Amino acid sequence: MSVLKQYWWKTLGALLVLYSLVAGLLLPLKPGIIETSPSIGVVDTTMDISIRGYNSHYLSSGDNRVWLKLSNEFMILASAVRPLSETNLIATFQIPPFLPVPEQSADCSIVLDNSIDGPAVKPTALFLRQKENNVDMGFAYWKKDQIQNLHTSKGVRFPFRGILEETIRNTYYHVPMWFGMIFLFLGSLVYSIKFLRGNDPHGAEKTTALNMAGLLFGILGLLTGMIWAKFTWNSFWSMDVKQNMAAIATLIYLAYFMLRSAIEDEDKRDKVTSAYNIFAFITLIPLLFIIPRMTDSLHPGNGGNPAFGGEDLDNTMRLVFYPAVLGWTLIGFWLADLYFRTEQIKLRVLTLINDNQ
Amino acid sequence: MLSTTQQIVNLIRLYWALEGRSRQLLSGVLLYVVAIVLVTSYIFGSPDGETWLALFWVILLFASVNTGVLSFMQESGGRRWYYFQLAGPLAVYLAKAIHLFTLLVVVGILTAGLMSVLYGFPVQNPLLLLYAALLATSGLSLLFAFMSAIASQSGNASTLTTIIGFPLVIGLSLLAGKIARGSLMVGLSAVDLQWDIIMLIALNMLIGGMGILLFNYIWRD
Repeated sequence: MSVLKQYWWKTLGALLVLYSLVAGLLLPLKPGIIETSPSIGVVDTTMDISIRGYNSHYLSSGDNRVWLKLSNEFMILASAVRPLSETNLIATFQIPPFLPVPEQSADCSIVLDNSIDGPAVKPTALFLRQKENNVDMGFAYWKKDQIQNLHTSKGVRFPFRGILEETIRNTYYHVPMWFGMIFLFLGSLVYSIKFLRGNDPHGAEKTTALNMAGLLFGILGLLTGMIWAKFTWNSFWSMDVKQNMAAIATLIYLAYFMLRSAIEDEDKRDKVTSAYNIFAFITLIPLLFIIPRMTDSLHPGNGGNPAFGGEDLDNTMRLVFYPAVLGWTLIGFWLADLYFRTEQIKLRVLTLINDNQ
Repeated sequence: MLSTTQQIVNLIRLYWALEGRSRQLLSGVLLYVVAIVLVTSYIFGSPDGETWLALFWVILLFASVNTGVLSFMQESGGRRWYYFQLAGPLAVYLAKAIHLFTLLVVVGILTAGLMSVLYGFPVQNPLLLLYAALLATSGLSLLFAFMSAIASQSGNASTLTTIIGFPLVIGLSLLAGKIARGSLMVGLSAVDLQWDIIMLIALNMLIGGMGILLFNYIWRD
């Protein structure tokens, strides 16, 4: 027990990572709509729209209601809903002869609700066209129905987001890699300053160990990001500014290890690489925190994409995300600690062998 | 001991006296510029504006690496001890950076001149290019004065300077490249790009400040 108490942060890190792995991979997603067809329609017709759901219970709930929603004010309710299976459903709409907008066309989203799954939305699902416009008549047709008495979804579940779908779980593994990397590099910065000021004789070795763990996290962050990008942005590398800057950051710290292996003399090596480490971290700040904010990016929070804290990270996700960040950071420091100690032992063994000869 | 300013002036005077005697640095860099512009002119013919700028930056970047490495390679062994007694680390670093900066300005003017003779001059707004070039060369000289001092601590200086210096240059060259691209457009002035220029100045100050703070630790053996 005393060992557990002494190394409480290692235990905490391991438990948090275990928790984030179990909860992040096992909790199901909320029901959602994967696709609807057709996607184009004209006014004054009867349309059968087939809806394909995900994790849904269309057959067993039996009280499905479907709306065609043009805006928060204007919507129409489906006149008939026919579930074919748990995940397939056909909704019949009587599209009115006029749209409540002065334009020739409008984008509608589809909202579906039943007592088991709760509400699900498919944005810009149907593109409606009209030949001539009559806003007043459109008002009358589209104002009749309202979305009300929505059910709430049951159980602890992660949100369903279009395009992202199941890959939303990668938030718990990709993003903590970046947080962990930044914290580890910050730690190495502190130790190189301590070493150069003469406050810590082992500072240079600690810097190397922390950089080793940080670089590992950086490479893992790049890899998890590339796999995620393949599924959501359709290619492993799309020259996104954050991808490029992350690659440069790994290059800078690879250069640190090149420099370390290039200098023979130990004292000189420790001093020079510590100075380089400080220089590298400071020049990394504009690369990671300023330039990505000046350019458009595919990442959330840039170039018109929704940011963290919106619907991409709801309260259920926060319950897994923040522990994952803390846990992986602690594991990173543990890795660095282990690396530092094995290096020290190697050094001790070498001196012992030399003494015995 | 003299004041730091006096030391810097004396050191730069010394660098130029040495340069006048051996002409190793300047002639090497000039040869490099003429050769590379001629070679690229055979490859590209007459390139468009973007390619012109890219060539200009690449030539300037490699010139700064070469000059930086060469300037420290000259001071092996005894001469470093001589400087060590002559001046403080701050004076050596700043003198080095200023010397590098003057050489790079010469290289830049020469490159731009040769390129406009051989390729034509596609730049619409020369003032913006001048800002970008001056700010970028000052940042490059501050950075490579430091990096080549680091690399000179190991045996294989020229390769190592490139490896450790180039990832750090990227932020600088992205910003300078953005300002320089503005010089290709008609009717754009420095006011439209003021945030990029301020950012670049701030980055220069950051690099210079780090260099001044840290040079003390890497210079003394």
